[in-house]
Amino acid sequence: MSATTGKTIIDFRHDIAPIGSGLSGHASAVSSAFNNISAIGGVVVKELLRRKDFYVLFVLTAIITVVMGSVNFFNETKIVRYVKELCLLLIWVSSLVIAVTTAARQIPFERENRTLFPLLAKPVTRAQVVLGKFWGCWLAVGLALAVFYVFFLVLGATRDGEWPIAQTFQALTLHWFMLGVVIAMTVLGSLVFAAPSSNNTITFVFVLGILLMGRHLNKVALRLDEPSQTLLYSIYYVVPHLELYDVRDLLVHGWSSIPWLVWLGALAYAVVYAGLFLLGACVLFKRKSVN
Amino acid sequence: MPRGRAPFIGGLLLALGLGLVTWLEPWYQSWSGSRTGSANLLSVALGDSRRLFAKHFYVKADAYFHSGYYPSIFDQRPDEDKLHMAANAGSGNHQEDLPARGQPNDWIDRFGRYFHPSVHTHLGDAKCNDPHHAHEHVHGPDCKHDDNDHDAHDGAKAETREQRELLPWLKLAATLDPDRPETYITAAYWLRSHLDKVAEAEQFIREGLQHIPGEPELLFELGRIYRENHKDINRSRRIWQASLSQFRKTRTTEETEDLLLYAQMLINLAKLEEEAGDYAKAADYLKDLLVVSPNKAALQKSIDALTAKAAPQK
Repeated sequence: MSATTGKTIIDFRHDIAPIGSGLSGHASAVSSAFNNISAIGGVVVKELLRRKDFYVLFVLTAIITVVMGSVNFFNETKIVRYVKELCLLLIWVSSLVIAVTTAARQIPFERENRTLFPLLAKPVTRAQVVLGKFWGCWLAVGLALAVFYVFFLVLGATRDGEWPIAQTFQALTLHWFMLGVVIAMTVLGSLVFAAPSSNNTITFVFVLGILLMGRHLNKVALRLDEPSQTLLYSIYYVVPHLELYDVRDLLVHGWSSIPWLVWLGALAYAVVYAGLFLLGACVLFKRKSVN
Repeated sequence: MPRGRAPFIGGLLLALGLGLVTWLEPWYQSWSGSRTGSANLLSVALGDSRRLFAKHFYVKADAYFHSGYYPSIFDQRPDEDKLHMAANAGSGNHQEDLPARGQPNDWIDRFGRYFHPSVHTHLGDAKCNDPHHAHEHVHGPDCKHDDNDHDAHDGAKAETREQRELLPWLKLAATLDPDRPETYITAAYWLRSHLDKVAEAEQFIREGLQHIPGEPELLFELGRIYRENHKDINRSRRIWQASLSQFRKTRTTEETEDLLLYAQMLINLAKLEEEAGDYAKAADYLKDLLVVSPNKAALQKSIDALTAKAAPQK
């Protein structure tokens, strides 16, 4: 794959051409689909590595955290929680920005640059394009998150000498799976909304709304009269509860790790919602005119 | 528009702008809403909204005191002037602990409690998100945890010095709203009583007194530092007397918080005089308290005992 300024061009001879050759039957189809998806995903990862977004956000996060961590409060050198909280807040903001903006531009830019036609002319289905874009964004965000969380872990250890590996791993994986839902939602949005900017705005509002209000919708619903109560409670059950994945308070205040079965249940919950959004995106993209 | 007119219109607008500046600038400087008089950058940038932020950070410190376990705005929250973190800090307020969290409303609520602090603890307690460790839990034969789990938690309490985590938020709250005495008192209490930072506590209280000169609560806390930490009885007496005098000048005992502060001052002064052997003076302080105290019978007994002790002195 090569890129000129702002354009994504897929080099089929290098990236996708060998896929599926020499194989036949069901295994061949699955293998081919998997290879197609991972090849398209690889392109997205390379795109994120080339762009400056991640580096700028990481450097900003690091600088702000280190500067705030160097403030002296009453000559107490081991105060750490406020630094951790700030660092995690910046990580959450940065990762959301990276995830939403990266996912929102994938398909619209392919259409705009007319690279979608040659892509679909090859043995790549529309569903594979959607899944490949999702996989690439998710993988790229995962890599970015890993760097952020390693920084967080090292920062905390330099202040209080503790290495909460299990808790940090849980926080990282929960965060990553939550972003999987957000990316799937954004990919679906990129097929519904006219421009990436509107998709970005609507997704941000929706995600922030859930993160801030999701946990409390049921309490608000219980105070309402019928039929508003049933309506709001239904919304509460239907929306993906992204706030579940926000375990910053547990990490900041040194709580013990979440039971692993519960953690696994949360990951499965995210997989279900991401799957639903991706299914919607695949169906919509299949019916949509690419011209 | 013809080309020749553009410089003319431009010049006209420039002259109008300069003329308006000469009229507006003196008015703005003398305008009561102008923030140019303040040397404080935060005050200039945030105006009066800094008080809201200060309150938020003060409440944030209380959330830290509960290790992140804190009711949201949709739950029953304690009054921000009566936070549990300020208990025993000598600010004269009633302090309330957080209400116990009720049963989950649904399966998402139940499931969600694993992902945020949902057990009531205080800084220094060992934490796990198991409901077994809730304060209201009574250990029974059916419990899966051993008794020594709780012992270990209690043992950890004295050593951790985790209370230091409150300090950044209290300092920030005091910076944003320097006229709020509770912030100084609460920070000073934790500094001197749990973190062995008496000098820093005294310095912070004095900082508060620079912003709110003669504030009785701050003077009372300063007196406590001299009494309890420096063991300087004479100085603490003088400071408490100044605090009492300031209280009588500026406050009444109509409000419960003020009444409590007044009672604390008089009781501490009475105790001080009793320890110094001046029983008559101690009785005088208690007589002042008798006027406003709801528990007159018990107080009268103490006064009688002190008067009896004072009689042989005469």
